[in-house]
Amino acid sequence: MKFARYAPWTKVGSYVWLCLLAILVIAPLAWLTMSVFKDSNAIVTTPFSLPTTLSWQNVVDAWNVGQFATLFKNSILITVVSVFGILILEGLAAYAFARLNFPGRNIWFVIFLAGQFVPAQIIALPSFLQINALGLGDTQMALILQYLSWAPFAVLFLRASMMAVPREIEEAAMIDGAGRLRILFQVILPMCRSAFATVGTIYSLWIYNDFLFPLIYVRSPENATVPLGLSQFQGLFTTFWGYLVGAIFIAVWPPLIIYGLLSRQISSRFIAGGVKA
Amino acid sequence: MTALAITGTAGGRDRIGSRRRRLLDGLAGYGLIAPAGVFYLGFQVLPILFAFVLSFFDWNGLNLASARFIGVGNYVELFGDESFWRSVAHNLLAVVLILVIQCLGSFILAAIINAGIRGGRFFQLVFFAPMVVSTVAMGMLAIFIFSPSQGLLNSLLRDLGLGALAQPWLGSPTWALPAVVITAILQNFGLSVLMFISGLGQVSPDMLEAAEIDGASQATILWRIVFPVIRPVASVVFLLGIVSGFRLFDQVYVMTSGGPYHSSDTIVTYLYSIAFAGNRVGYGNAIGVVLFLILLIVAVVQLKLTRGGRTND
Repeated sequence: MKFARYAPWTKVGSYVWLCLLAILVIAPLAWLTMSVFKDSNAIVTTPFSLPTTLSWQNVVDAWNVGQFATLFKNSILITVVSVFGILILEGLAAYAFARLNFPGRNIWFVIFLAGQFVPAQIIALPSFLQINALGLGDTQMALILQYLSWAPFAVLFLRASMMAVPREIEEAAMIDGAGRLRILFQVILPMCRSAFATVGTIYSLWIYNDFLFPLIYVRSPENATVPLGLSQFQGLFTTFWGYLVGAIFIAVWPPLIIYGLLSRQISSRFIAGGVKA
Repeated sequence: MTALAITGTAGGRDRIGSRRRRLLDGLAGYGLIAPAGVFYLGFQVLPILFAFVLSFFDWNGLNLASARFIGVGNYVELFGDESFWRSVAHNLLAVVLILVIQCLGSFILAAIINAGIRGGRFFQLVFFAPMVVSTVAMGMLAIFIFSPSQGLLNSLLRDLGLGALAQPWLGSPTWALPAVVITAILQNFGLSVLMFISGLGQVSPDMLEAAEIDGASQATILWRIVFPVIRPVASVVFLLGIVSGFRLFDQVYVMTSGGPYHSSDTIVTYLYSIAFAGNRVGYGNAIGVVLFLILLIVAVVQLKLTRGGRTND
């Protein structure tokens, strides 16, 4: 028996609300997918008509003009390097906070925790000056360095999952003569696999879709990520409807397809992360 | 029995080599947090300190020689800066819209899906989808929806015979901000729904049944049984909602750039235009520090409310 058996709404009413919101999400995507096959003129004059031809011209043009091959390469490279780096760096730190007794541990943990309350928007400006001072202005390295510093959520989440591993298992391994690092990699890591997957999933989406830091750090198109390239594309081709629709199509569908394939894993990871964060 | 024996030996071993072990653990502890700490201190903690220091300077951000210490001058100016307070008011409106539409709306939809309605999985899948799409792409798509003459919304209104309601949405000082906020809400709505569904899943069916047998009203059941269980989840959803309202930037930048006539400027877009278009780095950092303080207050209040609730229960 579920709570909503007591709900004051009727079944029909429920479906109306659910469908209304679903349409709000699906309709723009359906319109986008339909429009991508039309020419610039038809996109705006007859927005609700089905395409008469199946031409991929808009997508091909937008791909070439927007240099999407470069954008995807940059975005994927930056995301993969940063996420792997974060899992290693924060995994080590989380283990120290979860299991080792060292002087100053609690102070350091509070310092790491405090970052949870500092939004990226405040870091952006001072870190931009810092990046320039380091001579890293307009580089992908600057973005990777920034993302590698996004520690708080990963440390908190991984520490919590490592603390849930029973101490007896570790102590048994210690008696067998295993060192701390070996315990971390051969005992703790396999048992916390799902926590690492959660952190990896959430950070991948955060970093891949981040707009603020590329906007502030990166100038040249050859270093741009997909969101930044897309927004620059918008500035250049304000009324080229065919190009714009093609570019949005290219940016929207790859993540949606990955989500379609892995939706259960992705959404359950977000729930785990959201509730415990 | 065996578990006891094992911990027993481990304890014995520990005592023998305890001083050495403690020293090793200390070294290992710092060794393990050092790599993460270098990046975190370098690119999170240092910039924050940097922002505080710079907020007391007048500086164009180009050459250090032009930096001039002006004490709290930036904060005094900020206090009387109408453009800044207008931006704050826009953020507050965004927060209200997010709390009402996203937080309450997602709770209702989560309750409906939780009732075990047919196709619940499908709806969850659809609602969450915008979460994986970049805010820039969603914003650009929204421009097509809200554009005045050929936009989807206005075309639809005209086709339905409601042409009188058609607006130049993003070009109207009244409607630009709500249109941007709605776009941002659509992006995050699915996560709120999912979190409430997971929270509602923890409500004990036995207690609901017992309450029903005792003749409790629906309002009582909602308030006395459901609410205490989903309270932690609800507090996270509300906190995330409030914070996202104050941090609003991507959608504004893409859809309106703060216009028309600054009618959709937010704290962060104002900061951005001051620092990068206006070359006023010190003043921009003062805005950042104030935003930081606002969010700190929100976090502390939320912490107090949830803590207080727990001791009262």
